[in-house]
Amino acid sequence: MIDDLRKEIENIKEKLLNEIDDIQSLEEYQSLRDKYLSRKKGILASLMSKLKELPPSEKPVFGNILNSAKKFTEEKLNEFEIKLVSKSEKSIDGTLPEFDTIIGGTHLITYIRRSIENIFLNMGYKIAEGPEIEFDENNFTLLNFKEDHPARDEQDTFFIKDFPDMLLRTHTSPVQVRYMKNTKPPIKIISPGKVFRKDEPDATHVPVFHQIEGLLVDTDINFSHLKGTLEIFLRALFGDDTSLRFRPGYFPFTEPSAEVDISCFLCGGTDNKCRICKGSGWLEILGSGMVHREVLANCGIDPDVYSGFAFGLGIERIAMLKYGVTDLRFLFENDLRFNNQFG
Amino acid sequence: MRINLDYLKKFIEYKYNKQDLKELLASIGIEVNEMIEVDGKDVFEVEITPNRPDWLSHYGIAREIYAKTPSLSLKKIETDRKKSIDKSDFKVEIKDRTGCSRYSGVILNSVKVGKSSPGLTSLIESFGMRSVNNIVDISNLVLMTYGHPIHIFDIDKIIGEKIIIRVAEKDEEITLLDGMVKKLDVADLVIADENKSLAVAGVMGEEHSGVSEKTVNIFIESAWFNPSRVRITSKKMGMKTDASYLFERGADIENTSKIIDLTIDEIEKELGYQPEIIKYFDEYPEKSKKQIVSLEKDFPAKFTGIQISEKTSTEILESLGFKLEDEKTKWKVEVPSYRVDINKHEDLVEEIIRIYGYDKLDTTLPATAVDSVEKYEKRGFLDKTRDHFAANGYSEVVNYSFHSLKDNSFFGDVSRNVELRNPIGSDYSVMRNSLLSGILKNTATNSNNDFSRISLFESGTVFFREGNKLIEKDLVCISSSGFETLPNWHESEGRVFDFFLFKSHIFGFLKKVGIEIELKYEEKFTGFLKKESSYKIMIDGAEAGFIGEIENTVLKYYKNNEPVFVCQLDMDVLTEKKEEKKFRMWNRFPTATRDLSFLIDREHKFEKISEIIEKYKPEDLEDYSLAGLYEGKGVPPEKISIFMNFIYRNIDRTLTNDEVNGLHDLLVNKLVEDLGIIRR
Ligand SMILES: [Zn+2]
Repeated sequence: MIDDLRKEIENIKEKLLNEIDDIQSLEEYQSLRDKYLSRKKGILASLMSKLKELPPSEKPVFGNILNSAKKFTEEKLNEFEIKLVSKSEKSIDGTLPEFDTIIGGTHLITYIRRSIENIFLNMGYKIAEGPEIEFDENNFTLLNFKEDHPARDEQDTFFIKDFPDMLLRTHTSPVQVRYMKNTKPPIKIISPGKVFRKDEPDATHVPVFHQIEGLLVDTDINFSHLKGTLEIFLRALFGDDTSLRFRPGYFPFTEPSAEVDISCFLCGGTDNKCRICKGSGWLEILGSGMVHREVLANCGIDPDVYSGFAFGLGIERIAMLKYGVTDLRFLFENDLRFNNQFG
Repeated sequence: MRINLDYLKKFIEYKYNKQDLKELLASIGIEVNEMIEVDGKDVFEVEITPNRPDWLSHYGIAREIYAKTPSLSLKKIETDRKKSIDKSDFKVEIKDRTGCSRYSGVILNSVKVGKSSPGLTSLIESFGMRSVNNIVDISNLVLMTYGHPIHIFDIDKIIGEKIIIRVAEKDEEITLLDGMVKKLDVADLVIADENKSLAVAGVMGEEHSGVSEKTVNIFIESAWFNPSRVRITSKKMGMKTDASYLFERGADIENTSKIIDLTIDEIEKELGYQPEIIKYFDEYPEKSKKQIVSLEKDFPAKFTGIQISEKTSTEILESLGFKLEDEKTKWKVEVPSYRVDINKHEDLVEEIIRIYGYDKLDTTLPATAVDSVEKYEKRGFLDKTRDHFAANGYSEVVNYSFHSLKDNSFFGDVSRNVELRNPIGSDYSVMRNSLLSGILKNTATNSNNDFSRISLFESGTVFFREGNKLIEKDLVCISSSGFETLPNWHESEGRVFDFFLFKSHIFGFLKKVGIEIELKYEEKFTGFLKKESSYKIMIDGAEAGFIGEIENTVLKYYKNNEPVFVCQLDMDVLTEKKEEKKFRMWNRFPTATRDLSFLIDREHKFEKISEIIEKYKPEDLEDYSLAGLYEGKGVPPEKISIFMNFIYRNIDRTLTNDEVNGLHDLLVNKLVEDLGIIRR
C-alpha cells in the first residue's frame, strides 16, 4: 500500500515538471499552482485522504513523504514564478535624463562663515555674538576711538534716531568688548556677524556686510602667537602652500597693528593682469594686532598682567577673492542664478 | 597724499627703483595705493593712517626711509635766521591758549605776487594741486615738504595793529576764501584783527584778507591749533581742508618757528630777492612738555616673542629720532615732538618691530586653553533649520536690514519703528521689522527671471522700539511660490504649492525637531495675510510666529503675480520649546483599521473634528487621519463629505474584532452627537 502511494507521488512530481514547462502566462501559472497546492481541491491535499486508510505504523512515513512532496512542489513553482515575472518585466532605458529634484542651498555668506567658524572651533575658540544696534561706547569709545579722533571718520556710521548714543555696529569688535567685560581671561573667541557702514552700494561696497573677528587674551601672549595663529587659519582657508605677509598698519584698538596679506592663490604674482592681485602677488586679507592696553583696561582687564591679540576679516572679501564673486551686490540681490550656485 | 619721487630725493639720496621703494614703504606701514606719472615725473599716491600726521610730507617720508636704511644720509633741515628784527608795533595776542598753544609769524614787506616759476608750478601740480600764484603755491609747497600748514595774510587788509586768536562770537559770520558764508559760534577758534575774523583757525582764511595779485606786504602765520577743536569746527562746517586734515591729526608744536624761516627761504628762492623782514613773532606762553616713555629692556622680547638685542632696539629707536637714556633695567625714552602717536611702551615696541621687520617675527601658537564648553543651543538650531530647508529645495537669501517706511507699515506697528538718523536713502530709512519684505522682493525678482519654483528662506534680525528701549529679534522666514516639483518627462504634471503643501513642509520640519505646534486662527491677526489662511503658530501657549498666504495688496506692492505662502518663526521661542528626543518602543501587535465616511456641515472646521476625537479618544486609538474630502455631486451644498482612517492597537495584546468595533462605534457616536455627522 505505502509503496503504491510512493509511486503515485513520484508520478505526480514528474507530471508537475512537465506541466510547468508548458506554462506561458501568469494566469496559467496560478491555475497550475491551485491544481497542485490548493488546500481544498489540490492534488496533494486529496492524497491526505488516503492517510486514514493506512495502518497506524505507516501513517508517519506517509506523512513525511507527502510533506517532502509538498515542499518540492512549492520550491519548483516558486522558482518558476520568479523566472516568469522577470521575463514579463519591461526593461528601462537608464540613460534617460534625471530631473532636478532639489535646487535649494545655503547662501554663500553662510557657507563661508561656517567654514571659518569650523576652523576656529577646531582650534578651541568659542563663538560669541552680540546685538547689531550698539552703544557708541562699545563700538567706539571703549575700543579707543577717541571722541574727536579722525579714526572715527574711517568707519562711516549709521545712527539711530531718538537714541543719540546708539548706532549700527561698524564692526563686531563690540562683541569682544562685551565678552571681555563679563569674562575673566583666558579668553579665546571669534565673533561673527552683520556690520553696517554708510556706503552707497557699488561693486565693492555694500552698506550691510559680514565680519568675523577673533580675540585671544591670556598671560604672556605675544605678537608671534598672532602670526602663528593667523598662519594656521589662513592656510586652512586658502591652502597649505599659502604664504603670509605682515605689514604695519593702524587700528585704534590694537598696538602694534598689522595688515595681513596672503600670496595670490590664482597667479602667485606671475600674472600682471591677474583679476585679484593685479600682478602684485599679494592679497590684503585681514587686519590684526595686539590688543591696545587701553582697550583691555577699559574692559576691566589689567594690561600689566594680560595681553592679547585680535584680528578681523570680511566674509564678503573672501567671497570675492576665493569664490570669484565680481560684484558684492550679487550677494544681496538674491537672484537664484547666483544663490543656487553655492551651499 | 602724493609723493614726488624726484623731490623726495632732495631729502634722502636713495637708490631704490620705484617698485622696491613701494615695497620698502609697505614694510614700514606706508601703503602706496597708486604709482602715477605727472609731467614725466614718478609720483606715489600714498595712504597715511590717521595716527601718523608726521608722514603727511616729503620730509616725513624721508625720515622713515632713513630709519629703515640708516646707511643713507638724511638732509638736515637747519636755519640760522636771527629773530631779533622788530621794526613794527604790530602784535599777536592769544586769548584762547588751549585752542592755540603756539603762534609764530613774520611780516614781510615788498613781496611781488605773481605767476609761479615753471619749476614751482610743476612741483605743485605733481602734488595734485593747482598753481594759484607764487605766494599761495609756496604755502602749499611748505605744507607738502615739511608737513606744517601755514596761512598768509595781506597785512594791509588787517585793521589795527594786532592779530588776535580768540573764540568766535555767537552767530558771527565769515565769508571764506571760497566765497562761502559760514556762521560761527563760541566753540570755534578764529584769527581776527580788531575789527573782524580773518580766518577760521586751522581750517580756512577769510575772503578779503588773503593774498591777491595786488598784495605787497604779507603776514605769514605758522601756529599750533588744538586737534579736537579744529576737528569739531571743520566737521560742523563741513569743510575739510589740507590744513584742517593735518591739524586735527596733530601738528608739531616745536616746529612752528622753524617753518617761518623755511617759508622765507622758499619765498626768497622763488622771488630771486630778499623781501624786507619787518618783525618776527613767536607767542608760546607755556612750553609743551616732552613726552617721556619708560621701556623695560626685556619688554620688546616679551611682547614680540622673539629675542631682539638691546643694540638693535636702541639703534632703531635712535634712527627714528628718539633719545634714549640708559637706566639699568630700562630706558628712559624721549619722544620727538612730531610723534604725537607715542605715549606708552607698546608704541615703542611697534616702532622697533616695524623697522626690524614684521617678517622676522616668529610664528608660534599660544598654549591658551579654555576650560568650559558652550552649547550654542540657538546657533545649533538655526544651523539645523538652514540645513533642513536647504536640503528640501529652499534657497537661503540675505537682504539688507533696512526697510522703507512703507515696508514697515505692512508688517508691523509703525510707532515701534527703529529709524535711522542718517539713512542712505528713503528706501532704507528704517530698520526692518520683518523678513517678509525682502523675501517678497526676492520672489518677484526671480519670478521675472522665469523661475517657476521659488522657495526661499532667510535667517536674520528684526528691530523694534519698546518705549525707550530697542529690541532685536532673531527670526527665520520661509516662503514658497510656484512649483514644489517641476513638471518633467516622467511625471508630467509637477506639483504646485498651495497652503496645505506649504504647511506640510513647515510642520514636517517642526515635528522632526521635536516641536508640537498648534495653529491658532485669529481674524484680523495680520493685514498682510489672507483672512482665510492666516494663522498664528502657538507652541505651548507661546506665540512663535505665523503661517499663511500673502494678501493681494501686499502681493502686488512687491510686484508678485503668483500666490506666495510664508511662515515666520521666532527662533528664541523655538529654541526654548524644542525638546530633546527620547527613545520610545514601538507597538509590536497588529493594527486594526476602520474607515469612516460621513457628511458634515461646512461650518465645522476640521479642527473641530480633531477636537472631538481628542476629547473622547479611546486609549487604543493609535492614530487617525484625513484620507479624503469630497464636495459637489451627491453632497448637499451646505455639507462636505469626509473620509477618514482610524487605527486601533493595544500595547499588550491583539485586539479582537468585536473590541475594535465597539471602540470605533462609541467614537463615531460621539461625532454624531456632538457634530451631527451623517455616516455614509
Ligand atoms: Zn594674482
